[in-house]
Amino acid sequence: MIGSQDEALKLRLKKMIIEECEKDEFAADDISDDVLLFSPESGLDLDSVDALQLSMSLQAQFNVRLTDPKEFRRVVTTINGLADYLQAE
Amino acid sequence: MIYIQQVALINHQQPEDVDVKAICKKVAPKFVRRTDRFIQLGILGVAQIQDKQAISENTALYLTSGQGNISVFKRLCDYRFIEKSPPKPVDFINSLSNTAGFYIAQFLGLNSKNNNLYNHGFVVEMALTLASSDLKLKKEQQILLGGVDQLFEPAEIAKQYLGLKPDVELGEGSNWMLLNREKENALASLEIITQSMNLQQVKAFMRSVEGDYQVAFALRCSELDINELMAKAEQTRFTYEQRVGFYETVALYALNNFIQTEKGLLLFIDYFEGQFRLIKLNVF
Repeated sequence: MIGSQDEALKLRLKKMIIEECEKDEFAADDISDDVLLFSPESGLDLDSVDALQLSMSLQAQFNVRLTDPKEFRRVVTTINGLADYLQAE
Repeated sequence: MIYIQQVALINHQQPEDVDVKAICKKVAPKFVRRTDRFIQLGILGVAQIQDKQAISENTALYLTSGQGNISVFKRLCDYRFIEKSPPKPVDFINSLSNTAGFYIAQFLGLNSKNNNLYNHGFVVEMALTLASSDLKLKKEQQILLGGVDQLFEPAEIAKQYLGLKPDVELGEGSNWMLLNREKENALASLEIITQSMNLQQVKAFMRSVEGDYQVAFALRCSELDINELMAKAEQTRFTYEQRVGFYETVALYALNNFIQTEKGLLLFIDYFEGQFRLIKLNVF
């Protein structure tokens, strides 16, 4: 199953973002699947320190190394986009 | 002589019962994310001062601590030696010496010097000495000086590290003074005796102080020394010890507590590794 269709995976990613970026005021449901995470539209107000934290969490939890900022920006777009990258099929 | 314009006291005798993050969420909701207990204690302390008096943006920030942000240091050690992983970026940032001052300055809107001060023993006296010099030399107009220490667990290891007896209770606190050179509207004046003394020199100094005054002792002072110093003294003792657990900057709590509850002169006697240091506080 492709990642963007895997609700459990997407829920896990949302919880990871909330926990690792200390966004306690958000619930998983508050994060849309198709909104750009690092954009004002997401309302998450994530910055470069969050990006660094998320790249470390992705490595720890999914064994994915995203050390190049360009690669990170290409992969960590939306929840759907990230899920598809992690689970291509 | 420097003057104390305002004070703030946060003193947790049983820190494990206090949810500092929850309190900080109410007082400074924007400063809960990425901060930890040490930084939050600092913010809560200065918030008390800000509630009572506006703090100008050129006020310098002098933060002192006996142990610094020891919990983040422990987390960094855990990452490095136990988990063998890199630290969380936020923990790494918070481990830098003046990060707490950065967040406190952001909270207050300060645009000034951010000094993080540590000394092996007499941390409060050394910070006050530097603040006093900088005010007298007109390097600073006004200084917000605070002592922040958080409970470090396990308590047994903390007591060993601090050189305390096993029966000593540990506490934590965030105690602040707004200092400047002007007597107008001041709550008290403060004089730091810069000379280290032995017991006999303290006795002689006590005899040389004119008029009535009270005496307070640091928690590191032994009962033996206290009894000897107070044996023939006419002064009364100001006691605060029942209200605190030990932390290195507790002297600031004692001074601020005296300012809030008493009038007149206090001689605060501190002790570390065989030496005494004195502070004279005069509450108007």
